[in-house]
Amino acid sequence: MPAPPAPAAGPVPADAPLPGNGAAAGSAPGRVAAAPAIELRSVSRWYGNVVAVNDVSFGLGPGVTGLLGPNGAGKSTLLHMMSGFLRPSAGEVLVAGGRAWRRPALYREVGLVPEREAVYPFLTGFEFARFNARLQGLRDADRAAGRAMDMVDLGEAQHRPIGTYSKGMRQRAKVAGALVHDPPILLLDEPFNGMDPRQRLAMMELLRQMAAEGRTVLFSSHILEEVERLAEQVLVIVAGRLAASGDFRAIRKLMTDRPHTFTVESSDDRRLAAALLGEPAVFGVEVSGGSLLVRSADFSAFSRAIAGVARAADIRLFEVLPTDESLESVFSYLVER
Amino acid sequence: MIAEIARVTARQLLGRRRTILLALLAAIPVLLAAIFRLANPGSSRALEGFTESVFVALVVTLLMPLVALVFGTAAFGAEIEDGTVIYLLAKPVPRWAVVLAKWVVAAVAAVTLSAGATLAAGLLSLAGTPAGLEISIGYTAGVAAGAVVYAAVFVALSLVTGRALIAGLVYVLVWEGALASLFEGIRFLSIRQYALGIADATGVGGRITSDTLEPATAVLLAAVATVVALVVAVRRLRAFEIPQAD
Amino acid sequence: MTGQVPERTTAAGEAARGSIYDLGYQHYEGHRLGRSGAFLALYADSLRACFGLGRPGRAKIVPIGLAALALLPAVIAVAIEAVARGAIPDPIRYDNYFSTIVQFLVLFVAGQAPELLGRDQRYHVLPLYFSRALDRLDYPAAKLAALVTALLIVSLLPQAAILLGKILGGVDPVAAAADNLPAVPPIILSSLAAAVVMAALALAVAGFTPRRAYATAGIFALFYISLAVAAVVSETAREVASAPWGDYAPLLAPTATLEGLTAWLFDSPPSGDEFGMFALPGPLYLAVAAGLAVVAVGLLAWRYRRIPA
Repeated sequence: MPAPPAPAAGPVPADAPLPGNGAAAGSAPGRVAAAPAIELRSVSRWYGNVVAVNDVSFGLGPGVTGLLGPNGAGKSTLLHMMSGFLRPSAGEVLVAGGRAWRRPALYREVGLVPEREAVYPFLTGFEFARFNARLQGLRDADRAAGRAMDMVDLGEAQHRPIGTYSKGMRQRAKVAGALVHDPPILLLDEPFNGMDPRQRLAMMELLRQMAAEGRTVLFSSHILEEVERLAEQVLVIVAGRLAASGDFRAIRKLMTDRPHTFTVESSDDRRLAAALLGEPAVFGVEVSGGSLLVRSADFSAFSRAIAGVARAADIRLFEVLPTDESLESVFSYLVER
Repeated sequence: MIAEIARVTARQLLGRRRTILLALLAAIPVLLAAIFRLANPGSSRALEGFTESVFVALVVTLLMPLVALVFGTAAFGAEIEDGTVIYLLAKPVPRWAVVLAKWVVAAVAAVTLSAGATLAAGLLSLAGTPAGLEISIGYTAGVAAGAVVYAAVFVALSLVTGRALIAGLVYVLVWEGALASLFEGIRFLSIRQYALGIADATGVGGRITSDTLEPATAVLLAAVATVVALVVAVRRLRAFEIPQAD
Repeated sequence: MTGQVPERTTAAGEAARGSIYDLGYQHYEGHRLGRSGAFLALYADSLRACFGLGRPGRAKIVPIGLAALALLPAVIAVAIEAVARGAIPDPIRYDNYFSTIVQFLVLFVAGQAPELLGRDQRYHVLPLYFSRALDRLDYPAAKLAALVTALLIVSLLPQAAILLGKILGGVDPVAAAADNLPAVPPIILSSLAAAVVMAALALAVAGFTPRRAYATAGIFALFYISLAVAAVVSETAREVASAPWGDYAPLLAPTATLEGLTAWLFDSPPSGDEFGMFALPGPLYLAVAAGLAVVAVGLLAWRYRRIPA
């Protein structure tokens, strides 16, 4: 099957359509041509002989982007470079219109939620948010702090010391501190660590809302379900290199050297199986239980073909489901390449 | 903004067991002064001996540097080591403001304890003796100045190395102690000598220890040391990179 | 061992079987050493840690350097005696050797006591220790024994060197041995007393904080500041002519107390007695030293009984 060679591997060239740049969020149509909020150009970082990040380039705009990768892949390194706390060994890291390294003014535009847990355990949640607000130079720090606390749903506990908080509450306090000055860019390093499912859903909703307001939200995670559920775009980092970027379903379609599998339920599986084997797009059919597992090399060709095949054989189709469209299959493919 | 950082730093620094221990330590010279007062030897030789061993050998040499060391290295303290200083730095606050706030808090704490103890001990033991007041004030000033300079140096040290406390101890005990008695020139690089010189200039007037630095030299070098230390601290903070976590 | 695994049914109603394969994992069926084995293992490991063995080179510099510095005067003295052959009488004696090396012992203990107790507290591994055959108090006891042993090594080695030098350097080794033999018990006893007191005090301080640097500073403060205070009190009292309480000043400082004890054990006043301190009856020094040791060990035990783990 001829397949168009797809640039599925390697970094996205800087002038390619940038994921999330105005198209994904859809709320600010006029910003399509604006410079990306975060831009990395051929960024590398090494520690002696160990290369943590290897020639990564991408650009991000409004919307939620997930930075996905196994542990040790370089996610935190990238986030630290974007937040101005690590100098790139090569390349440029541009955030909010200027370089990230050694530019304290950057932090007016950026809210950072780092991974490190410990944070002034003797301050109450409210005092911590207010501390952040005051250092940001906000005039009405008290009100901003109160608002931030309500946004992360810590209104009840805000006057207790952070040292008494559970892990999930501490995470939320950190997020409140990062939101207090209403920044257009949010960087979160493993933000759902330690949250129970309900808190996670609430935080995801909050981040979606932030993104809908036109903010650029970037979060890192090694948990596929989180990224799948929240991120509109993903950046997949493997061993320091950018393995893929964009919408993960689109990436899946680009993985042409791996067959797609479909689950098909019909009124007569066996006859359908025999008919499908006659299709050039299909190269494997398995009859298992009450459904068919069909392997096809060409997603779109098969999608077009199955309806015709079924009708010709006078078989009713109950269900046609692509089964490995998950981020997990994308991810494991990219990691193992 | 500096005030806000200072406020939080003060809470971090002071509300701990270590402050109580340092306060107890600072009470020792006062206690000794009380004992001296009660014993009331009367001879001027005794007075000199006492002053020398308490103010110079105990306070200036051991106590004041130790207090300044603990407060100075704790100003940034574990924040640098475990990376939580990020919360402080991810703000549009100029780095010199951060250093200034931390230094001021450490210096004020160190001065309060050590100079306060010196003044109390001085007044208690030397009141009524000729030149007693001047000597007390002199040593108080010297100790205060020394604490301020030490605090700056140790704050800078805590940004330069992870083993700031040990390095500081080595500096105070070896450099300013053993080595200074061997090599003449080290006197000019020793904060202890600056403190003693300033003490002499402010009232002690060479009555207790001879061979201290000239007043102008002492003040100048102390100021230079402070400024250099603070500049080093600011530069290190500007170039702060998160340590590689593992 | 293949085991019987219960049958499980899937949603479609089919039974599924599973089995467990024998990978060769084996139980340990042999003899277990029990509490004494654990104690000895911890003791040996701590003793090695006192000298930085088993850690990178940097950790060895301080303890071995200090041990070398403590040995140096003895080696020099032996060399001088061998070369000068009596021209310089007794360049270094046993009874004041302690005063020569006491600073190094303080530094040794200030560096190594935090190493012994700090890391385990900092990284919260105490629960691992306490869930073994060890009793709660076995842990600090083993650490104390190890540090005492280490200090004994550091202080006895040079004195043994001097002893050997005197015996072998003389014209008649046998006679020289007989002459120097009476010195052996005081050497051992004084070194033992010093080791126990200093180790106990240092560990008592180090046990209270997981941060090694603070513990080091605290131990320094304990030994040096107490010495300064003792000096002041002694001087003050001396000026007040009829003040007997000044004689008790050395008891305020552990190092001074130990020096007094050493002097009594050797039955000779130490040279360089700048404070005129050693005017008290010997057994008093012994009592105070013993008291210090008891209090320190008590504090250590109290701390480790109550430490959260």
